[in-house]
Amino acid sequence: MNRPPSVNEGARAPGAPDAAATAQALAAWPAIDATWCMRWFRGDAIRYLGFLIRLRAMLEALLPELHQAGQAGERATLQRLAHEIQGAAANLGAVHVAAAAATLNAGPLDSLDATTLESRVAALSEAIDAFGRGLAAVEAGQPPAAG
Amino acid sequence: MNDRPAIAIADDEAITRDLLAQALGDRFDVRTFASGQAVLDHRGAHDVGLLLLDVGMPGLSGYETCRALRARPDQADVPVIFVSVHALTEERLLGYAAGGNDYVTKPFDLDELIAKITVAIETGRRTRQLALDAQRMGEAALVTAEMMGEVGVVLEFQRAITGCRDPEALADAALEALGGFGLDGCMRLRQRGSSCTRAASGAVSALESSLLDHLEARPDARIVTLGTNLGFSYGDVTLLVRSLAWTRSPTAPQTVDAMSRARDNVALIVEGALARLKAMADEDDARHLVVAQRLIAATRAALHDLEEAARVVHGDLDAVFETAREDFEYLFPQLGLTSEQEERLTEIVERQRARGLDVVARGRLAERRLQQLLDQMEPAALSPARA
Repeated sequence: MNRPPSVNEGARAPGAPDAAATAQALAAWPAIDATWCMRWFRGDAIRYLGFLIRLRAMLEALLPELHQAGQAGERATLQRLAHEIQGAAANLGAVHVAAAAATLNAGPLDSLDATTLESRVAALSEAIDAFGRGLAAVEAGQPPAAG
Repeated sequence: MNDRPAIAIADDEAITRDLLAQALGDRFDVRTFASGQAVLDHRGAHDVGLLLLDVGMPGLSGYETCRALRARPDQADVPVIFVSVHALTEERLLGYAAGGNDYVTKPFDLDELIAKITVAIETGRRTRQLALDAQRMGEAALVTAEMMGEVGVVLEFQRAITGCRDPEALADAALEALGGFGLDGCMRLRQRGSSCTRAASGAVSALESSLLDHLEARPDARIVTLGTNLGFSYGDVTLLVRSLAWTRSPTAPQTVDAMSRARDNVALIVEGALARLKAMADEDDARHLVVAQRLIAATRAALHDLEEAARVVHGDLDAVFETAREDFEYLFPQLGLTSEQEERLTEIVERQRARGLDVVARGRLAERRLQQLLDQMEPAALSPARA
């Protein structure tokens, strides 16, 4: 049995943005639904940021597998990865990533032609990259770029 | 002490697991699991008030986990809310078919999720309470049915003993009623100085006979434990019930209840036998009284006949001597007797008449004595002293 998490240490590391600036930056980031998601953290932007950092680590860990499965046309693996990414991203308000994953996860992939499949994998990959860039900007105390 | 309702979250994705745990942790005692199998393997899974179960997990899916949970008697009623990225109606239906109570899709609305969890926990609690109440009512109904059956045995015994005319039949009826409770034993009844001892099965052993003696010597003891047997001592009725040891066992309260009822019911049978035994003595007295009253009446009638006969004899005897005197007076002139001789003869006749009537009168003295005896007997017969 796992224990509930403690406060994410990464979100409170020295040099991290303060709570007000983080909340402002998150609210201005169009790739996430911060307003809706902050309720999950009772307005604690630092805690929310910690979870977003965990999400980024997770996505970055899955990205090589996603690329490899896309190149090999391993549809079952792609669907499993898309499912996993969709769930985690949606819960943390990463709407662009969640939407791209949902597109890849929608319907049986066996019926998709390779080109469509590749374009969906590429869209998801790009959404993940954009999420990483946006999060880096928030961590730096700067407003994330759109997309 | 943690008084928050315990819930379990099973999701293979650590971020989602932790997100839910941190968001729900201030309202619920959250326990997290990384797989459906981990939930099933957890010994305390039946203690949680609700399970939040991700549908798409490697290994056992959420649906398979729920079905496995429902197959376990101690966890079958734990409310399950499925969590999935799929919002399709077909997916939801699969969730309900697997035994889920509700279905939420990612991303969740926190307030909605908390409301669903709270309702499901309360519904589950009420369901368990209802099941518990139903179980208790079922048990109570069974006990009531048993008690009704036992009361039926006692009532049947009370009905049967009204037809018993002797102690032997009464003891047999009591022992048959014991059999109605799955018990057996031996009984001794005493009436007017004599006793009869009967056994439900087999003969009364020497040991049992001595135990009955022991019980009779303690008429106020009422109920006495004698080794593995139970003795009842109610004056003229003593009963030894075999293998009804009166021991309380906290580990078998139902057995204790059944034994307690058996003891009470057997006591009712013994009391019924005692009452019937006394009633039989009263009936015996009543029968003797009727016989005595009939005898007295017959004797009075015979006495009356005797008095009538005595009166007739008295009259006849007097008439005989009167005729004899008249015959003498008629013959005197022809016999040529002197006046003195005639007077002597007449005196002889009169003296014999007096003696004869005296004999008859003495006979009536016996009648009067008999009349006095009857007068003394009648009040005694109306209120006979018990032998």
